[in-house]
Amino acid sequence: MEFKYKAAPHNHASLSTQQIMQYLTCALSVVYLFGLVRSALLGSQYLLHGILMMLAAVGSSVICEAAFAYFQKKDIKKTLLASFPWITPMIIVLMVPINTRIYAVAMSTVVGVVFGKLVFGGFGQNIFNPAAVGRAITFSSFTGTKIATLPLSATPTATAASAGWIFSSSGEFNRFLNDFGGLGNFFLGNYDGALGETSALLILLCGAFLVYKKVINAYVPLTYLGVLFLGTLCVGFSHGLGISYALFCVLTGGAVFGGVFMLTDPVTNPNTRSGKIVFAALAAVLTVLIRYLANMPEGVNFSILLVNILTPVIDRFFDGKSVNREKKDRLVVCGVILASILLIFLFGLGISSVGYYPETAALETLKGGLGL
Amino acid sequence: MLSLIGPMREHLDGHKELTSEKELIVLPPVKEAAIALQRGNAKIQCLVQPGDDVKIGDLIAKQDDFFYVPFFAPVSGTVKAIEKRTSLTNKPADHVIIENDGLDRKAELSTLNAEKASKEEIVAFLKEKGIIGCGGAGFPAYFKYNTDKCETLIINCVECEPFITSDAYTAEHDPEDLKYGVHALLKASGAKKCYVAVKETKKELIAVLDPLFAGEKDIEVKKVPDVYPMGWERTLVYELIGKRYERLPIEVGVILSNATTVVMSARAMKTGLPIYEKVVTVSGEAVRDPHNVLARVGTPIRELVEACGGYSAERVSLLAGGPMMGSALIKDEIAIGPASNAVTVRHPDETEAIACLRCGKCVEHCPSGLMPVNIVNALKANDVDRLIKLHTTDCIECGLCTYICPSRIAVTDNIRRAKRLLSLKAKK
Repeated sequence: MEFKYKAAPHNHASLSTQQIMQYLTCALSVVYLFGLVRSALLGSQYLLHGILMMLAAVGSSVICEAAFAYFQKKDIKKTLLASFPWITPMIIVLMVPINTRIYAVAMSTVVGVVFGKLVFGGFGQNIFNPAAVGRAITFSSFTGTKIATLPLSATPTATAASAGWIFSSSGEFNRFLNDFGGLGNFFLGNYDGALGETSALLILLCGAFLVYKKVINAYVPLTYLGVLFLGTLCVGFSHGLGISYALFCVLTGGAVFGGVFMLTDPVTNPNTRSGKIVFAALAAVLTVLIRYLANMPEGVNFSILLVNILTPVIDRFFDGKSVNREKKDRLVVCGVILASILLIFLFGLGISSVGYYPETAALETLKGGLGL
Repeated sequence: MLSLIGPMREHLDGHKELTSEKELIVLPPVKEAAIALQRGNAKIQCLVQPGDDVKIGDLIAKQDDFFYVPFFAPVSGTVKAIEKRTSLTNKPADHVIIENDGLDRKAELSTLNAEKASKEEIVAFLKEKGIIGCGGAGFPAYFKYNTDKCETLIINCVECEPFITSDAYTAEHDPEDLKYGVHALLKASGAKKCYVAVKETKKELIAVLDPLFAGEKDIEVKKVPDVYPMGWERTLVYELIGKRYERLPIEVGVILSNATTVVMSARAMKTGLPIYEKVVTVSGEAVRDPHNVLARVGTPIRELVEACGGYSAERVSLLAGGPMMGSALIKDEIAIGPASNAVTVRHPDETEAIACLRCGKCVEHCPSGLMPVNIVNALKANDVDRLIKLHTTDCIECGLCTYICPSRIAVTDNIRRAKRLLSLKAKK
């Protein structure tokens, strides 16, 4: 008989990190399939390109991780299985439009995986969301390199951005919405945009599945989308636009995708519930700030990178013994949420409509679509 | 209101059905009883010598410092030796070895009529009979009752560790002593109110307890959720009274005693006998035929396992206690003590840890409201000040952080190390 010694406990929950990543992979695959089906409807060359993008991204990520393991003299197979190299490229592909060049996707992945993840020490050690790092690279370096033979219409985000993110009347706003198939279509996602970001409904269903399986923490997307909604609701009302303006702000521009799949990345999250809520509320503020005041249509990705910087600060703030801090933390969390909504409202007061011209959309289509 | 901390508990697969509905196996009294003279680091005075004749219930050793804890002979016969053997701590300790003469002669023992006795007399009796907490910790029961600040007495029948059913068995099959003991301890505590806490999923035990205390105004059977560690004092007090405390439950006017402790107290009052035999759950996947076993204190664990068909594998994890808090033993010659409630035999867990995901599940589930992941990081950084700020010593090593960790990191053991580091620093 052999009596094996190990320190207590001798019992484990069935949910493992490997399973968490499997569930996440499933959810991402569903969103990817939706993107492929929509691409296929545009033409078979779109479908083919969509598949090639994924192969290039996953391939380059696996090669980078394997090379790193090789140079660090680690067991390559074991390292790859414990570092889940396919997740980051999947997210990157879902965040770019279907007409992004293959080399741009591959470069973004390499930069995201190497500089966003591996240089920090690999899985679990990174400060920034690697996919957001990679996406930021595509955004800033490869924006002009769209494939001309795969034209896309301008995205609602880009169009809204060129209109100044606000509309002078509800009539004008409704005209804008109707040009993209109405608010319902923003929910369903049958419009041109990033491959996996358009269908809020599908992403929310996947998010619900991930929450149910305890893969992601529901507080993060709920706070992020909730603050975004309530903040822009105030903005909409102050500009004479109805509730549909807030819904538009939440449903467009990858906010739902970012809230469900990227902000929830546990590695780059604060590790307390209070921290996660504060983190998500600040991300919502930054998203709106970037959308309204910076020279970019897309606020989600950069807001994620920026709040990632704050994670260690937030963690330090909520450090200690949580039961002793409970009352104080509750005040802090409520205060941050209210302040976030107020800030978004104040940003909104400062913006004014530059006018919605549907021609802008047509013009951009001709250019090959700046739409991000 | 939504908690910003997290659930601070978790439902575990109980595996209680392995033993709960089975007949009790009564082991023949052990041929050679081994009583470990060990309680933490306390000094134990041995009161017998080799060659001495002892009867069941004879005092053979005692701890007599801040606490008074007597040790008794569980069999009658001759003291054969006082020698070093491996104890339940896996370390060598002095054991009194008594050769059983098979006659079960009982010593002249004092009894107590709890209905007539005063509070002080009951407490003194518990002290004399060495009644210790049978929920696992083995804390001397009399000590908690030395107070006049108690408002609520909680009888703990929760038994939240997986596999273990001995406490429920003892309570379920001896309701008369349970009731007698509850009344005696209620008097000893001076409390106005008594809650008997039982998991809502333990239908058989509830079917016994509900009618047992039906007519009593001051005793109420409370059903609590089937989560771990519901049977831990802090979790149970918070569930029933909604209060948290600093160090001891008496700060919020509560005394807790475990159901087996209550039954043992009642039996001692009626018969005069201290804890000389125990129902021990022998369960787990790696034991052939799991059962509850009645055995004398001082019986080697091997005999208990053999009574249950032996091991079903060549390599096992043999645990004194349940799978969450039970410590792995390095051999099965080790004898059970008066506080033993279970032996769990599992297949060794060989899964390897991977990198921390920082998911925060350990923070959300820690029943002490600590931040295990931060403690582990502070330990890695050797940051003693931060370990203190994180209240590392408040950890009760319930094991939930390791259990919940999806990356299979030995979080609890790292916190144990952090606690050891702190106590080393404190000594310097």
